Amino acid sequence: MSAAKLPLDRLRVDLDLAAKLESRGCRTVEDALHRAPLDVVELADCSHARAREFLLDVARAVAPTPTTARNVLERTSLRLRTGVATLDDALGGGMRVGSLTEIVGKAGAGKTQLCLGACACAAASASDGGADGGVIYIDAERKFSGERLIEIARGKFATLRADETAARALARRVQVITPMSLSDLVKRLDALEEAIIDHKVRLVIIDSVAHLARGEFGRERVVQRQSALGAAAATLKRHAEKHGLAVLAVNQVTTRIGSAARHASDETGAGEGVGAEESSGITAALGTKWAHCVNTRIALEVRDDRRSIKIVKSPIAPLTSFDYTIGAHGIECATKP
Amino acid sequence: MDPSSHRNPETEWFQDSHALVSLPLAPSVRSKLQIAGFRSTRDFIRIAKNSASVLARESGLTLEEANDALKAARHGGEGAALKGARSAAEVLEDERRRPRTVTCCEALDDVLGGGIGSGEITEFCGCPGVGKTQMCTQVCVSASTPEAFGGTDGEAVYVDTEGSFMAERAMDVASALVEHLRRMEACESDSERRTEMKAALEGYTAEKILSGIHLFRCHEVTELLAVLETLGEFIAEHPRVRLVVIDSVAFHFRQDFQDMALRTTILSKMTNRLMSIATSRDVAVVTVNQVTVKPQQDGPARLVPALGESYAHACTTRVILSWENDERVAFVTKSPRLPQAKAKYTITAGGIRDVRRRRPRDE
Repeated sequence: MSAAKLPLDRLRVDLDLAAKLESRGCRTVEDALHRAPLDVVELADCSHARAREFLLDVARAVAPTPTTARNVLERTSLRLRTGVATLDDALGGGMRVGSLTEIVGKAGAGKTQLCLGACACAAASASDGGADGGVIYIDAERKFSGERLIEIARGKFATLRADETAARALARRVQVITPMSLSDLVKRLDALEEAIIDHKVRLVIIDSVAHLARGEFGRERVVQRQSALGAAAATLKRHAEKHGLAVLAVNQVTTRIGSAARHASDETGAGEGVGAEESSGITAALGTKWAHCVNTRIALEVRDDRRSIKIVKSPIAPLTSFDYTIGAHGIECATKP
Repeated sequence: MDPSSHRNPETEWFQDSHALVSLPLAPSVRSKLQIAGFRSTRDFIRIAKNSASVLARESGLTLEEANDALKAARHGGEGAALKGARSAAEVLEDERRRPRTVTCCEALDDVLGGGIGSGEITEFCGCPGVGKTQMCTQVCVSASTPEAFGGTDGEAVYVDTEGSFMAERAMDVASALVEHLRRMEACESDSERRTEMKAALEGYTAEKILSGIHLFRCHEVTELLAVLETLGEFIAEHPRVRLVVIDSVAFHFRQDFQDMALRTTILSKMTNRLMSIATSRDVAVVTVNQVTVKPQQDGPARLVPALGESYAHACTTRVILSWENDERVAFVTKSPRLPQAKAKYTITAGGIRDVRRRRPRDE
């Protein structure tokens, strides 16, 4: 449960005052911290000093404990491989644990293939060279193929080729869920913690966010859509940080409307990577708010017969690009750039 | 003749202006005082002679309540309008003495008047990927620059609401800074200053810089408010903190609220806290804001800083980061003392830097 909804009498605070506030409808931490000391004075009929002390106690009880950047560095150097060697090298070893990585691309660019590759790498056992972790695959578009997952896994890990039981064990570590709507997804994400602990989940894949968001909300309900998206992103990030897992989200592309919209998306940073496709007028879907939630954005671009992967946004990697093909092993990069 | 007539009439008006209702008193205390005939803080002096026991007897309050009421009255009606006032000359002196945290991009530092000032709020807004978090990481690292190099030699607090802080990145930036200062020391010709610099660099490592960046990860508005509420205490315990970064202010406020009036109230509560931390602890506060698309009645939609108009008053200096022809540009749009100006910057492996002229014909 989030700290905001904690009842005040569960904290180490002035309980007498907490009881008075409760009788006036101010029950939770959130209720109290949204109020100024003077409001508390009026509500609980107490002195100003006592009200200030009370609010400070409440704040102390729920404020997150600080850590230093040095400690974080030691804790978060873990990476999960995407399975595309060149991409992993560019990202400093793979997808960062505790953050949200997004893949953007046109239909047929290979987004799902990349997801399946990452899924195979995370779920393969340590002896085979994988991360030996559970994977939750949120398959909104119903494109998940168990057959293809095994095929890609066998392409990546030679030891799996002959070993049917190992391949089955890999497949068992992947939990596929198919939410019906964005609100269904948000509900499921809220309750995900249990599954994360049970299955030792290291990677959560969502294929795709845009499909859910666009399906449930039309153009007229953009505000509700953005708020549901924001909630989903915040929950995902919380799980990612608390349980040390990586989140991989697929996004679709959308056509820019008019020059105004183009101006807006040019500046969203998508402008740089997908912006290379400026002539075709295409940009990542779901707008700037979602883009703000994404830590790393990878764009898959198809131009004529050439396919290229671009790192469009990353807190650590420079903006880079290289060509790829889709083969039996999933996404492959021919040579290092 | 009225005995009070010898008082200076020019200073009298405000003493009477503190009516009882304006004091932060518990409602029951206030009503007891009102029933006993007290109307203003002046009555405390006139009837109760500023004595808690007399006030208690006259009003039927307990001794503690009476004492609190007197304290509240003293606090509210300081009596001297100019108490704590400083002359503009002193303010000027103060401003000049104030240490500034550099961004490591000289052009940007110039338009900011030498860097990010302490005692004020500087806001960076911009679209995703333009380098807001990079800017924050850079200033957190720069805040540790030793005094021998003109820095603030301090620690930093990083309040992270989006989970965007990257320790690896901070490590890169810190290593680059250490490297840079070493080179500065090597190039220094004045032997006395060089010894000073050498001493300052003793034990100054990237790891040490990272140990001085305190991270608070807030997952919701309530946690953010709680951190701000307790930040004063934290800084008192860590007196070397010279910089507080909130990255970003917008994130939670843009999704946790349905009730816009409540959002405005809480935003203003938060900015008040930030301002009071900035001034009372004399630290620099840096906030990050997102941008949002605002439809215009005539012409194309524009990108504007999020959180609305009333929030725009909260920061002292507002810097908009954006792209211009494939180059990153910082634009100081609002500041009480600086002209509106633009500066180009770039993000390198070592952090924020000046744009190097690549082609000779540009020079």
